[in-house]
Amino acid sequence: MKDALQNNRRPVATITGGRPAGRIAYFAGAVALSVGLTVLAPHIPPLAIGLAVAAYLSVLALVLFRTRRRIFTYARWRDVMPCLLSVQDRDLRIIDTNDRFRSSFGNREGEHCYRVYKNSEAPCPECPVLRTFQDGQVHTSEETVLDRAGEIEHVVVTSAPLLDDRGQVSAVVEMSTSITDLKTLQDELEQTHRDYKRLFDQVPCYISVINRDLQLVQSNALYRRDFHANGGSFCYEICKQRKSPCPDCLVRETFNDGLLHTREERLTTHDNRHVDVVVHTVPIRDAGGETTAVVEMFTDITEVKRLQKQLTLMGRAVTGMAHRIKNILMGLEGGIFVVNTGMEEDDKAQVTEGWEMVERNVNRVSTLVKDLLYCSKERIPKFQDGVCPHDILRDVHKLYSKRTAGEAISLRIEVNGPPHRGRFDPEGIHSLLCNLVGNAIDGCRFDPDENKTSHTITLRCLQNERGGTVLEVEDDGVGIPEELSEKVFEDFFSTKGTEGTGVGLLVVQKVAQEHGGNVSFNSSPGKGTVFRVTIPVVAQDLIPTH
Amino acid sequence: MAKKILIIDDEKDMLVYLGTLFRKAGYEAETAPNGEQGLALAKSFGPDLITLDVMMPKKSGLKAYTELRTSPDTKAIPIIVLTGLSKQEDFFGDNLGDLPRPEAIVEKPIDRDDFLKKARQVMGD
Repeated sequence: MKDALQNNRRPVATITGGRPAGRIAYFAGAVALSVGLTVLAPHIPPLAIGLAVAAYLSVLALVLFRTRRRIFTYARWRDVMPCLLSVQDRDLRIIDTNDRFRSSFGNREGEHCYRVYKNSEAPCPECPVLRTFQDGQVHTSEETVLDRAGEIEHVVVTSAPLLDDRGQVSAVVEMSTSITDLKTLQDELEQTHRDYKRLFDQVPCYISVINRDLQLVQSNALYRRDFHANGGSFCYEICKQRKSPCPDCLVRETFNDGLLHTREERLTTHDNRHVDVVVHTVPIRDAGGETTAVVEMFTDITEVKRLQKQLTLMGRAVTGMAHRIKNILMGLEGGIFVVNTGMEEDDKAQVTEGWEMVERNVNRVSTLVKDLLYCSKERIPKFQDGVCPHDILRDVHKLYSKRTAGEAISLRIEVNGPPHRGRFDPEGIHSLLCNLVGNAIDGCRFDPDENKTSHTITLRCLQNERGGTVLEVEDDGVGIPEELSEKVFEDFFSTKGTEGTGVGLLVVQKVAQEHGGNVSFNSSPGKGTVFRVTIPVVAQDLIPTH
Repeated sequence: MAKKILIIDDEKDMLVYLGTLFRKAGYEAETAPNGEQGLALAKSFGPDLITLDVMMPKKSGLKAYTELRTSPDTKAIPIIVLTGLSKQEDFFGDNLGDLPRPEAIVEKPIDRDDFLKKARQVMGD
């Protein structure tokens, strides 16, 4: 076989050319045929013998020509094949190669293929040539080979059997097509894809891809973390917890006009957190330019919104504060005026009355300043151990009972169980209670319900089952209108009311937070309000000592 | 005979202050801590001027104003409205309907001299 292939590389030049023995045999056959026929069949006319010899020569020439053409065709195709071609025997020795192979690896005939391809001493574990020898089938696999220059080349290898006359695999043709460029491109593509994926996942904003039916197709890590979304779910269910599409859906707008749209929106996360975002919708188009999906990009602006709101509130607070201070100043001015008038008229009662006004307003300004200090970061809470909240409750009760003397407002105390002690900032808790009671008094005084002839304010100190302290101030006054209930802790500055300082609930919130607790309230407009401050016992242990 | 002024305000300080101010200026002054008592006094006392705080507990200032303006005994008495709000519209809104507007609206805190001048002006002194 090897000889045949090697000889075939040098195509027979002519039917009669090439090897002289062939030529002699060819013509000797013709002579033998004519002599044999003349001797063995003398009755056959010489013309018939001549025709038989001519027929022999023609048929033989045709057979030889076709064989030569087949061999010539193999050799030509082998060398123009755009791949590395080698023929190997059962020992995996290379017995024939094409031009391209030789230019890559040199003339390596007689060597083992694994030596040539991989510079290895043993066959590869998944050798396609061996498999073809075993089953006579065509096999394909991806391999890495080392060329003459030592460069790694990625190839797709196809092995095909060469059968002998008995149909047995006598050799295997191995054709290797270089896919190094393709592989490089594929690697680059994969790297780019990984980079984009990383970028997609790591950008500090939510990204989702939505189809025409408003279903989620793809989302980034942050989006999945905060919305727990599955592909196929509807975007309005995921982000807005709605049952139907939003009436002013930006995704639909982008599907309709193919343009980019932007708006501020509020999303609700899986754990019911509100996130203020700026959303951009961008179309994804197919080759025909048609929008097939829309990318939604959400930038979280919750913090910006919060600061914006705080600034607005601060502005409002400053206005309210100025107004309140002006009112106190007017009270002081009035007091001084009344004192002066009393002195001019030598009216002692009037002097006393005026002086009381001065005192009252000095108190108001001092409480206001104290509250403001609570709201600022200036004041550091002074925590003490062994403080009994019942004592503070009683102090506040006493103070405000005096202030409401003569009014149809009664203050009472409710406690459950014996007095307990804990770690509190007594001054802070005092201020907290004063503010809640002050607000409750204003709520009773401003109750427009003429059917209520008297009001009750209840100050409670309870211990919950976990040992935490619950402070409650309940009134049966005007209540908080529903439309304001969401803004109770924001719209803190009321300009009316003489007991509350206007920053009261901020103080309440701050003191509660300093104690690791929280503030909540229930209010029924026209029926009253209860504010509840819960201070957990666990949190108290965590309170730092100043 | 001294002219009479009724002061309706829920803040005790304002009642004392304005009462003293008007008395010292030569007027007879009466005070009421809410709209209810104010309306009763307006009828019995027969003032020449009423100063009314529009933000008060119980009968709201608006309600007191409406009653003073509709009761035949009091509707002719001039009223100076005192407000903590900088714009009267903030308080009255469209709620006054056909009722005549107050003779004057003064924003708190008051300037003593300006306030007295305005009161005199309203009473025609």
